Amino acid sequence: MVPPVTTTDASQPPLTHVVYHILLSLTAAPRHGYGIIKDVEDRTHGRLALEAGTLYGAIKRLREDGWIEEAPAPADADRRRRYYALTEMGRDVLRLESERLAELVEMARNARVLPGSASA
Amino acid sequence: MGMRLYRILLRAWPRAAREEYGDEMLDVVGRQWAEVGPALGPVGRARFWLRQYTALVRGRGAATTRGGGQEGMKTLLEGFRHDVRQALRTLLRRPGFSLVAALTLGVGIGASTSIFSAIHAVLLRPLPFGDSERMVVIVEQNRATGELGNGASAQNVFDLSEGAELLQYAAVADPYSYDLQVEGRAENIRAWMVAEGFLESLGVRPVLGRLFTAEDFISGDPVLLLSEASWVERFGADPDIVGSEIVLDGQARVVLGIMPSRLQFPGEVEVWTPRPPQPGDPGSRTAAYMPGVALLTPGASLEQAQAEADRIARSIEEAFPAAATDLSFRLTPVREYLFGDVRTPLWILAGAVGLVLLIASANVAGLLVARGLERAREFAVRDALGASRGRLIRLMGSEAGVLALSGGVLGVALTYGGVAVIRGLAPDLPRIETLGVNGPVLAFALGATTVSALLAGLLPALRFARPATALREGGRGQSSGRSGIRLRNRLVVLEVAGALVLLVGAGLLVQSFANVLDEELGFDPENRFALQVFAYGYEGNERVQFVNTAIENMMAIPGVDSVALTSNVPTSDDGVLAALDIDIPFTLEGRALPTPGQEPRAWTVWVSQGLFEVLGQPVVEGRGFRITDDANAPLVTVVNETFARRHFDGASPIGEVVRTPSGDSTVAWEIIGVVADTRPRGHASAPRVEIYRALTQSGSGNLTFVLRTSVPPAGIAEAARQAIWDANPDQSIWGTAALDDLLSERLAERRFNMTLLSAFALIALFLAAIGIYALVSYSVQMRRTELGIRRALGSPPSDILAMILKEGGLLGATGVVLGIGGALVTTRFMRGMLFDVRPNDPVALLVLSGVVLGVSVVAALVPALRARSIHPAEALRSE
Repeated sequence: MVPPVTTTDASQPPLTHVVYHILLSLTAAPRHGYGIIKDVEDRTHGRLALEAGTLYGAIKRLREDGWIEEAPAPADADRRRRYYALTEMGRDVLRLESERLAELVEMARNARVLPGSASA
Repeated sequence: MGMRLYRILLRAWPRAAREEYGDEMLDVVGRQWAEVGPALGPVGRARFWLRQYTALVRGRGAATTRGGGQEGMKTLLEGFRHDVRQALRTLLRRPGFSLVAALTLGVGIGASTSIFSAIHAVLLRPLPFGDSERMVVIVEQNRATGELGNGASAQNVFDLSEGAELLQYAAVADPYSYDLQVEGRAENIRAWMVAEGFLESLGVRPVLGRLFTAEDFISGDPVLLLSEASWVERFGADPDIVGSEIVLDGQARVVLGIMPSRLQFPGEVEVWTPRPPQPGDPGSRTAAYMPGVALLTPGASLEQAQAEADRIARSIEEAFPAAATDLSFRLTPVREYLFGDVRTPLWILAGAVGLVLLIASANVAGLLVARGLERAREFAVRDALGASRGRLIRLMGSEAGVLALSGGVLGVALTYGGVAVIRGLAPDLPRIETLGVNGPVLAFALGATTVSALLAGLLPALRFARPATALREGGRGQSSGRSGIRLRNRLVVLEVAGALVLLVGAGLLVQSFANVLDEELGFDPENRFALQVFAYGYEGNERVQFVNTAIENMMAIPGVDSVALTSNVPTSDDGVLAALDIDIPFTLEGRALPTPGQEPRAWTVWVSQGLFEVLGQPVVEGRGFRITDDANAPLVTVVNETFARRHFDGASPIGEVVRTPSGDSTVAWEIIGVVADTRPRGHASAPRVEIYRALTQSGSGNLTFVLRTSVPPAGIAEAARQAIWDANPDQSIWGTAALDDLLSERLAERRFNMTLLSAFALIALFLAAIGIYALVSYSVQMRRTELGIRRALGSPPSDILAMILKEGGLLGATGVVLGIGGALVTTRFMRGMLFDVRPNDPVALLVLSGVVLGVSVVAALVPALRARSIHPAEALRSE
């Protein structure tokens, strides 16, 4: 339905915060589903607690779009759990989105909405 | 619980995704639950699972990558709200149309929900038994004639329980009544003396206390179980009643337990007492009036158990040839036993009401198609502006939805009325007391609403959502609505057919009812009041004195013309007046003696002198009993017409002698008269072979006073009861009834089926008429130009009128042909409900077809008259 977003697509709509956090939690290492939930929870100090339904709905789409992929599990892992890792494209999307957010923050600073204005 | 529902909800995911991620998700949810669940309170748990479920449902293929899942949901809701608003606006623009449509659906939904409420209360609710699937009711059946008894004999069922491997517990309940002293007066209370194993078969648990144990049956200690209702009403729900004593028939009995009040099986009951085994009494084998119950052994089928019971019946027969002839046990699943009579009629009514709902939906669909035709231009514009096909479908669909919803609300309101009507019409339906508007009934109403919305909305929606069609039909009107009209034609024809089917069904029931009422009763029930007592426990001449005093007291009541006694009023039943049917074997003097056990039998009624006059039962030959026919006079008897016909083949039986067994020898009775046949169980029951004896010559303690009054019997009921107590304050009264009330109750079921089916048929006919009216009106509207041109070319108005009427008639005729076919197929299922009329009765078919055809033409009359008055010029302008 929705065409895959390419890294060069300038008009790409913002990511949902759920997707952003999932991508973010996969930057350091591949994780399994429950690991992603725990990681997001830690990072957000419990403010974002993902439910399984939300997580796997997102994982399904992210894999279809080619932003994440299945990664080999560590030898000692529970065989029922699969590990997911960022793809190159996923990493690019995350970077672009982060840049976009940074730009926004920058603009907010310039507009003196936020303290610590950058030097012009 | 939480996890199980999660698994179920997971099925909403597309299969591929479920297979891919399902296990992982369950694992993750399980870990989350293990982590936080134990620390949560009930609210927290509910919130946890609710969040998981929502996420699961929302995560299902929703746009979770970008754009935001929540926003997606919002858009969907927004669109829905918009559709509803749009639909409301459109509908309110045509209030008349909308009102008719909503009313139509409301009536359909209300009627079907009302019938469902009855089906739910009577048939679908669980039975109050432990294991109703395995529970069977045992009655005896004559193997030779196939005649079913009211029950079985305790001794035979005891032998059955001893011999049967495939039955657990087989045991009988013996109907009984006790006297309970209440405020210095004896009150009669209904009881069942149950054999060991009866209550165990029912699988019932006491509310309080305990059931009978094996000990209670052997010891003969005076004990009882009390019904919950009696416990509440008579003893203020005092829990200390268990273990204390109640005096019944002058004997103190210990209350062992309280039985749940929903258990009214095999009949109305207040008290249970143990029936001790009475082995070795061969005579008791013929007393087959006690319903028995048993549980099928787990794994045994009904057929196997029946075959085994048949074998045991044969062996009883061989062992006791004199006491058991042509004996067989009939095992009936309890559900069948309780509802066998009412199940078919209820399902037929359900079918009828389903048809009404279908017709109502078809009608609204037709109306929406018409609206769609009118709005062809609107659709074309919307299409041109880029509305998608789905959008147009949704638009039409939400109109049907809004209509159906209004109809549903109206239908639920009507259901309250419908439930009251059903209660009023059928007070004797089993379990009618549980009838009401409750959760399942409301759920059904919701279902009916949904179905009618789909039926009414889907067809027009699909029809008009083809953008190309919409555009084409937006053009010039002439051929435009053709395919829409064809669709509506079909709908209307189906409506007419459905209405005819219902009308024929109703007509057959009306005819049956009339036929039943035409049956000769053999007596006059009007202004006759009956009062039954069991006058036992009198000594010597006491009973005669009591009876005479009671009669004197009754005669003194203003409005009472005459009083007489009988052991059995015609139409009595086991509810208000107990029918103690006694059939006695007899032989006729001068005829060859039949083999023992094969003697003919006759139902015996004990009456007082004057009973035939008081009851209005004609003596057709000879004479009735006289005061001189007393204990000192020769024994005499009166027989009924069936007796005379069966045993004397039309010749006069007067002067012939009947012999009945008395101990080891026989007693001779001279036949002195023949009386008209009466019907033992109301209009529809067949007369049977009857012998009457004079109470003065052979007494009976089972006495029903019959009072002939010059005022409505209800007015003297209380005085009549008082007349008994004035004669003997300790005499309890079993029951009282006006005889025409008894008859009327016997007709209640027929009246119920007839009234409802007729109502549905009329509703259906009315809806079909509206359908025809609307369709023909519309077609006239569409053809104004054509009609105008015809007029301009010189067609006289009468031609136009005939042409339009013919259109209505043609719709009707097509519907009638279809309907006749439908009726021939469906009315066969009603065979059991008919009386003296065949399911495919040609008169009913012809007359009602004529009615439907007539209504079709009349429905077309108004638009036809309008068409006739079309002025040529005006018609041309209207385009």
